[in-house]
Amino acid sequence: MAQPSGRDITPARGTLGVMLVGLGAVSTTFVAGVENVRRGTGIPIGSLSQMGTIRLGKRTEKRSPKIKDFVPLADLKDLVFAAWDPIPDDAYAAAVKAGVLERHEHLEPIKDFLQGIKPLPAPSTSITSSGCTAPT
Amino acid sequence: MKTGKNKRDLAEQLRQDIRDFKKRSGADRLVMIWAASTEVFLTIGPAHQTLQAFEQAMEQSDPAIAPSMLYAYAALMENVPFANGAPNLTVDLPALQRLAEERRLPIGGKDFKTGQTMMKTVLAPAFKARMLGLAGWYSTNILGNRDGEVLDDPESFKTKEESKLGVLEYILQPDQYPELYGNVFHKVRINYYPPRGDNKEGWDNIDIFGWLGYPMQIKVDFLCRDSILAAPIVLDLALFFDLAQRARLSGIQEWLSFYFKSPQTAPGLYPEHDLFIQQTKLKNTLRWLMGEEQITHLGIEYYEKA
Repeated sequence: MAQPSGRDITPARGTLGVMLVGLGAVSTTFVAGVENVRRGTGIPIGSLSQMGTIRLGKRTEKRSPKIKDFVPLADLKDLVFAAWDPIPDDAYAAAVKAGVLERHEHLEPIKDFLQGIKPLPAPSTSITSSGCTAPT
Repeated sequence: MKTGKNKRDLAEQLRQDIRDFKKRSGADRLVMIWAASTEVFLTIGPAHQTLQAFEQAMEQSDPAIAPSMLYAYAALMENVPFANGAPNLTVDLPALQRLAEERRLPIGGKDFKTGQTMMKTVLAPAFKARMLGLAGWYSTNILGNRDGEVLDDPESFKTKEESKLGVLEYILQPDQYPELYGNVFHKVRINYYPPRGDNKEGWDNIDIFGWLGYPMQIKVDFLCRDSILAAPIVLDLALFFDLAQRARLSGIQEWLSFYFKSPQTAPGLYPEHDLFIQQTKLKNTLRWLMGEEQITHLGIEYYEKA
């Protein structure tokens, strides 16, 4: 069968800055989770890009690479973070307040990293909360 | 907090934040993701039709311009892809969609599909696949985080409710199956209950019917952790939106519907809500990007040898 040619994709060189609107429960759980994964103290469960595989060709070919080995995604080690929030708590204080992750197991060991993420002030008309998004 | 003489001024300050972060962090590329609260209910109006009208409305601090739209505008003006994790309108506007297309930037939304709606978009397609009828679906949530508090406000809940209610209608196609889905009672409630914090409980009572109309019931009680379900979605969206930009995919990224409760689509298209259709769409897009064959699951070649 004729192979389609695919798309020209610029390689993922250098770092990817992830700018988050809101530094609440969701954002801090995400950022702290990525850092734990990078340090080998956690597994990115629930992430298709990190855990998932993709079947290629016929079943008899037995080709099922991980998605992250198949498409040129940014590597977790190359992510840097910023966030806006009306509340000036850094990512460590916000994560402790959110109370999602275990403080001793997942926050304390990366305290310096989290404290380095200080929110940019949100516009005053914003109702962006330090709470979280609405993933119901 | 930032103050400014009008909303456009605030948007310009956000653009400056983006430029400053890029310089300070040395980041080669950026993506922006909305991971904040649900805003009050808005509908698309004249201010959202063209970029000119949008910019003028910002200058007049028109209430039709929600805070999330300022971030989306700032992102696009700085050539940064934008993904919307809440049910707010945000980039779901003709003006910003056109801006994204013109600048060849990926955008997408809306509303992270995490707990109850994820289950709904798995179960409803199963009933439909087996041609089982649905009489009613009652969904209630108790949650005690800031999200729950915001959603206790009727105007914010309305934004959320639209996002949660649309799903069944699109999946079940009552027009095509009036005997099965022509009379579904669908109810969604969110109740703020502080003791649970971020640990939510989503209850679903589903009344279905089978052969000759005999009724049956299904109960789902999902004790979930909101942010534990949302965090991996934020990660995947950050990585896939960056990939989309490097692959020069612009405008609405429907192949990432997998992650959203109310997927944005091209005008005139209905959204695909079925989780496994969304997964197939995502994986086939990756195959297409990399020049691999599409998987159709036909598989006749294993049986009919040439």
